[in-house]
Amino acid sequence: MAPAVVTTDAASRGASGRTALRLLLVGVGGVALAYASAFTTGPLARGGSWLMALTMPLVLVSTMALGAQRAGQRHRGLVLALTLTYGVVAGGFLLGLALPAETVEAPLWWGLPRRAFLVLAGAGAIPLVMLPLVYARLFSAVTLRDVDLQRVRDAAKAQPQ
Amino acid sequence: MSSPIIVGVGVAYFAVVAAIGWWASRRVHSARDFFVAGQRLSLLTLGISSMAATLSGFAFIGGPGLIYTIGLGAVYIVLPASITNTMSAWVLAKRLRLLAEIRPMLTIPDAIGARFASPTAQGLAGLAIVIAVVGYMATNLLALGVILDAVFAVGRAPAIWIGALVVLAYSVSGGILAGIYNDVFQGALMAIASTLVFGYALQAGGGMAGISHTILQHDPVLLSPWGRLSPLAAMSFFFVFGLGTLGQPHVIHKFFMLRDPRRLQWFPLVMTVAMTMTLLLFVGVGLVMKALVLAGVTPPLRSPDDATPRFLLAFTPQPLAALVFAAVAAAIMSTVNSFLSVGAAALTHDLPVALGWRVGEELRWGRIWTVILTLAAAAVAQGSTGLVAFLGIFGFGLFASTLVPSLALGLNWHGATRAGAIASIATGLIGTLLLETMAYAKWFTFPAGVTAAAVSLVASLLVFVVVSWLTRDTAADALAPDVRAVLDA
Repeated sequence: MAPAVVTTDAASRGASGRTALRLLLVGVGGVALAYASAFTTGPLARGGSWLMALTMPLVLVSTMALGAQRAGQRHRGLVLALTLTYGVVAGGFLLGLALPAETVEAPLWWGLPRRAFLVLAGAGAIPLVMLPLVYARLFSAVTLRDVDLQRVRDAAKAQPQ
Repeated sequence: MSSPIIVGVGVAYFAVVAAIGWWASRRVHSARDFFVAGQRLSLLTLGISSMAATLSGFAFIGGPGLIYTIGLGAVYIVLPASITNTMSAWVLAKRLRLLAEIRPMLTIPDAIGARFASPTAQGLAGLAIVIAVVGYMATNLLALGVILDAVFAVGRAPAIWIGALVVLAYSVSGGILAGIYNDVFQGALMAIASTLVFGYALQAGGGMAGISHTILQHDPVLLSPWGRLSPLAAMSFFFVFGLGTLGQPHVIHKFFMLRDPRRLQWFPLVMTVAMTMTLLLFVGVGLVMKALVLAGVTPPLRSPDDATPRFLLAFTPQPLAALVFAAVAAAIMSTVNSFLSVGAAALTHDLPVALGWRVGEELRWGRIWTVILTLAAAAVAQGSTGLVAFLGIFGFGLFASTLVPSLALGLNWHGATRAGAIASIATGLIGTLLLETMAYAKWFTFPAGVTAAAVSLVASLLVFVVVSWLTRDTAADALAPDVRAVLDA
């Protein structure tokens, strides 16, 4: 079984951070274009919602990736969790846009019309349950180890007062 | 509404708040105690108090009213909580808490000043906080006045001042320490009351399916994925309230206060459970009241904001209704106290740092500014509802556009520069004030789905990255070795 953590060499240190930053920039650019489309009319204006559905979750997930990444490491579990989060959030929004409106007689999904259920599950319920558990599970591997804390405390002691 | 049970619960609630304030005031001996609770909070205290500070009275009154009016479109204001609790933990919690290991951290602008070695950036961030805090507090004090007047029937203006003086009493004596422990009491009250009310809402509407069937038969647009909003407007809510959460100083400054940074492991889970319980009322009452009105069970509401009071009085036992009215006051007071703390800290600490002044006796000045801010906000709340509406609009957006780039990117990207931080804070400050003023004065109308807060947030993010890239040769200059150790951790 492959190790969960792949440590890269010094030359590629920060590569995951750069990837996250680039994705964040792409996302923010897409959101800006989506807003700009609202000032237009016709198909361009309608495309704004689709662009928003694709790029706004990218902003949120890449911001999380930027904060979660550690210099010199790429953790497969973290990449998988964040990719899945992007998939369900963007997927929920896209399905909400793409699926036709339900009839009044259509069966409900967990007490809600199908489209509303899919959006609320994708952008709400699934990440709501998944992300805090992933964060806790990966905390000592990804977020904070005792050695990190000690290194910071040593740096504080070494700093001239 | 002023039944003996409701008044009795209201009096008991204020007695507990006063007792906690008195207890905390005996434990405040320094500015560190007053502004960051002596950095000795447990995880549970941090999680519940963060939730209480995040959710104001809007979650109990305005939010259900908005659901009643625009349907599921209003859910996108709170839906980002599915992501934001974990996002703030990954992006901010560790870095802010570790900064408190290496430097004395009293305020969020302190963190910006330390990261970029820039008193100017710290001062600008402090200025943005002071501007936003007065507006936010005035809005919340007005809401508190409405609730207290409804319960005690003392008149709107006296109710505003009674509410302001109660918050002031425990804030000025016990500082954030009193606020935090009151938040825990108030947050627990909010979560329990909201969960119970949600159960009654499902019962009154015939379950979620029953509520949906009724609404779909009469007004199906309300249960479309975006409600009465356009898809762009709904997703714009999700964007602004999702990313903007990273810039709310009255919530994120609590990360400084955690005793052991390793306990952050369970912060998102605690915060998520507390917030989910508390937001059940937001969604449940708005939908069930719409269904009950459409089915003719109850007459139409005079105002959407009547959704919660009407439901409580007609469909829940009176002790529970009394508990929720206390919870609404609790939600407002916990938020006001948190704003007071960050506003007074900005005036006592951040603005003088930017101007190169040394303030002796920060504890005494913290208390003085707490009094001045409260009186100013109460005067605004009493004096002009128009001004309150205007000031209340831009608080969240101003925090988001001025603070998110420097914190979310600055604390996680070595390439961020001092010039990028100053330019983005200035862009957020000027952009938000200008665009909100133009929109409020009707000099300019944004198309549906576009808001001043969203435009300013996007602009300040782009300015931060572009200016940092243009000045990338200076990136290393802004990083002190101990701050670099925090960014590397």
